[in-house]
This record gives sequence, C-alpha cells and structure tokens, in this order.
Amino acid sequence: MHIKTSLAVGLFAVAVLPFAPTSASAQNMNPELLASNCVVCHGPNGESVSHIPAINALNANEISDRMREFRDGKRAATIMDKIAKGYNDAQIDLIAEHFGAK
Amino acid sequence: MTIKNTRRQFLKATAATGAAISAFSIVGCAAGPNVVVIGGGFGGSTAARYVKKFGPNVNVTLIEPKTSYVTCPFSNAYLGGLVDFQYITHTYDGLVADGINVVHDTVSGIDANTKSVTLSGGTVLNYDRLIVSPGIDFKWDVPGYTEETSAKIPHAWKAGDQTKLLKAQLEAMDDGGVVIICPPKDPFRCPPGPYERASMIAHYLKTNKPKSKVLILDRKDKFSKQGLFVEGWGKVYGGMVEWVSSAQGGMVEGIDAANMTVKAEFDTHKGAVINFIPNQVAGMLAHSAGLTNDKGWCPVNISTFESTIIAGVHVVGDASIAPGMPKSGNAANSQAKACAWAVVQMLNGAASVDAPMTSNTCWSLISPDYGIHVTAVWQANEAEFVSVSGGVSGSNLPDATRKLEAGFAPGWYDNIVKDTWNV
Repeated sequence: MHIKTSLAVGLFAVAVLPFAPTSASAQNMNPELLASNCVVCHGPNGESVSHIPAINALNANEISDRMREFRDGKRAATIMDKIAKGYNDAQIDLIAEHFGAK
Repeated sequence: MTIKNTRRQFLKATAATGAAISAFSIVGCAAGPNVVVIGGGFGGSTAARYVKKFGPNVNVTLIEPKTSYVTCPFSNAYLGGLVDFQYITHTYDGLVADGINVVHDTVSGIDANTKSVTLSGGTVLNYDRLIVSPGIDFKWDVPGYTEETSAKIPHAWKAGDQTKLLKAQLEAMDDGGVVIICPPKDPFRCPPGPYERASMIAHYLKTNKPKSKVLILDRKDKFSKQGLFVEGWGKVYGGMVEWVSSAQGGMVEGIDAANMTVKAEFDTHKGAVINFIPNQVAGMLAHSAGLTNDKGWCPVNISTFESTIIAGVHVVGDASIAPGMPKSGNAANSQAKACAWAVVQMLNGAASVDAPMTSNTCWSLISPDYGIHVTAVWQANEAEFVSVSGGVSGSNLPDATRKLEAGFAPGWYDNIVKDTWNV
C-alpha cells in the first residue's frame, strides 16, 4: 500500500504499558487458532476450493489417525509428514475435532 | 512559523469535526469495541477477518488506499505466462460481506494518546486496538537505482503496474538477450521469490525466445531452497539460468539505466531486461508512526504482535520482527490470526495470552510441471518462534512428484486467497 509520506504523522511518544508477559510453557491450545494454520492449504472449514484435498468430509477419528500416521512415518506424503511432526497428540485431537464431519 | 501554527490548528479543527462525523457514519451506534486495521494485504486482510471471526461483536474497519489488491505470490507465474493478471487481483467485496467496514483512503496520522487514526480525507477513526500491516518499502541504497529509475528497470517486488511493466519488457525483448535479475540482501519479502522468478522467466524464454538467458547477480552467497532450485534449473533449463553469488562477483555496485547495465564487483553486465530488487525495510507507514527500530523493522511481543515501542498498536506481516519466521504472505496470514486472537482476548480483559503456533508453507514453481516446497511449524516462546517441524522437498525425486507438487502450488494459492480475502 502507498502511504502519503509528506504528511507528518501526529504520533506522541507514549510509555509502553507492558502487557502481561507470556509464559514460555503456556502454549495456545485454542482449537480454532490451531486449526487456522491448516486452512491456508485445505481451505476455510477444510472445504478446499482447489487442488489440495478437502478434509471436511472425514470424521474426527479419521483425521487424527491420518495425522498420527503422517507424523510417525506410517503414511506416505509429499509434505504432511513434515507438518504433522509439529503437533502433539492433544493438539492433533483438537484440530481433528474442529474439522471432523459432525 | 505563524503559517505552520495556523495550519496545525486548522488540521486539529478538521480532525475534531471528522471524529464527530465518524461517530455516526462509521462506528454507528454499535456498542462493541473498535479495531482499526491499516493495510489490505495478506496480513491486514487476514487480521480484519479473524478479529471479526474471533470477536463477532467487534467493529472492524480496514483502511487500504487501493480498491483491489495484486498479490506477489503467483506474480511470477504471471510473468511465466501461466496465469493472467486477473488471477492475482482481488477485490475487498469478501471483507465487506463479512461485515468489515472497508475504507479506501490513506492514513495521514496516528495518535496513540487519543487512540485515533486520521485519514487524508479528513475522517478520524477511534480505536481500542490498532493493527498495522504496512508491508515493505525500499532502501534505494544502490547508486543509480531510484524510484524514477524503476519506471525503466522494474523491481516488481510490490505487485501491480511494476509486474505488468516487467512482463511487457520480456515480451518486447529480442531472442538472444540476457535478462538480469538482482536479488536483494537479507532480510527481504519472500526469500525464494527471486529464484522462482528466474525459473518462470526462463520458462517464458525457453518457450518463446530460446536463445536468451537469465543471469542472477546476487548480493548474497546462499538462498532459500538453493539445492532444489539449482537441481531444477539444470534439469529443466540446461545452462539457460546462471546464478552468480556475491563472492563470485554478483555484488551489485551500481545501475546505469541509460545504458541498461549492471555494474557488479568484477564486471559490468548488459541486460536486454533488468529486474533490480532493492534492499528492504518496513513499509513507510511504520516509519512515520515511529514503530521501527534502528534497522528499519518493527519489534513486537511475539505472542500478541503488540509493538514494544507503542502500546495498543500491533504490527503483523513483513514489517514485523518475528524471529525464526520468514517474511511471506503465508507467514503474514498466520501471524495475523495469532494477533487477531490476542487482540480479541485483550479486548475481553484477558490477563495474558498464551504463545501461539504459527506456520508457513510455500511452493515455488520451477516450471508448470515442476514444483518444490518449503514448510515449517513454529511454537512461540517469549523471545522467538521455535521451529517444531519443517523441511523442503527431497532432492532427485521422480518427475511425477514434482508435477504433483506443481499442482499443489495453485491449490495453496486458491485456498489462502479465500482465507485472506473471502473471494
């Protein structure tokens, strides 16, 4: 985007009020946020609009089983084997429940 | 001085009027908190949509001067002749359909004390939280290359007219010419981008002007997916693509637009077409707003993307410092979701926000039938994004696998565009 640079921005220096620091151990486990990483390839709600498989027709157990198989090297993949390794069992189950056909 | 003071008072009066108007015309009588988002690219548009998604009661306004957005992803495929310009151009109709107030104007001021944004048209928007996604701007630090020069030697690193110009030059050049690409120093937007561009231009030349060459004069000694690109260039284009590292003489010292030459450390090279990509800093708005550090990028709390310089203002996308993550459209999309989540939690009075997982997946096209990927998943801690998984396509894979991955590239593009702009 193009911003007009000729106009000075009327910003006053203000003291930063530090937001409560986040503990390194507190991982965000919100299912919707975790699942939001998946939709860039698999489409909003897992309903892919293009050449990458949709996941919304699978049920939660099928999704979590496949994620574990990818993660554990038991299912061939071009890329999902790498991605799945980033998620633990609890995260996989939350994501699967989020997308799984109800 | 008198004139200046008068003008300042005038601006102040205008601003007050604007605030009164906006209270009715823009914010209306809605009771929820106000989030203003500046910038309608991958970061800003995703942030606007996900704030609304995570906090349906939030009034979200997105400010973007352009009425449609042209993406850098797939602009190389456009140069290669694989897709048309319309394919990489998207309107904001989908954001409007989501209930986001989209305002096409430029920002003339941000006031962090009164928590307001003033637009060039005079409107003043009050915010409870502000999210900015200003993208990149250029350093213009190589002699002979200026904004004016870019009308003859395109950078095409912000997609739009520059991309069309580069395409027109490729179409106009004679067979047998050399196309010179000069990738920037780190850090920059889309690390594999210049090398995918070399591939897509080589595809166009091989198809239409087979005696031509692509010469990459690099200001670096290594680059993203290097082994895979070099392998692919050899297989698909033979000797048509040549990469010269900084150490081998690729360091560009000057541009001569009149003679269409690039002066590198050891030699001067003449190009039929030259694509010079300048070194980069955060977008101009971030500088004007005082959000940048001495290196020209925006330091943020990586769980919330709130600026560590100015409270209440969040920065996502290429302009932000997200240690461990690349600057890319997918990274911006992922950061914007984490930021949107944090913003809604903070508006709801949460005492802390847990550290998010983010991700980035990127396919590069070496040819229409040859795709390669890089992917990563990160878990944020207090200081950085720690990679918890990831990697790149294997080397020497079968043609069928390269073709499969070439199909995943538009698969990713179509879905991330839908996720970002709802179009």
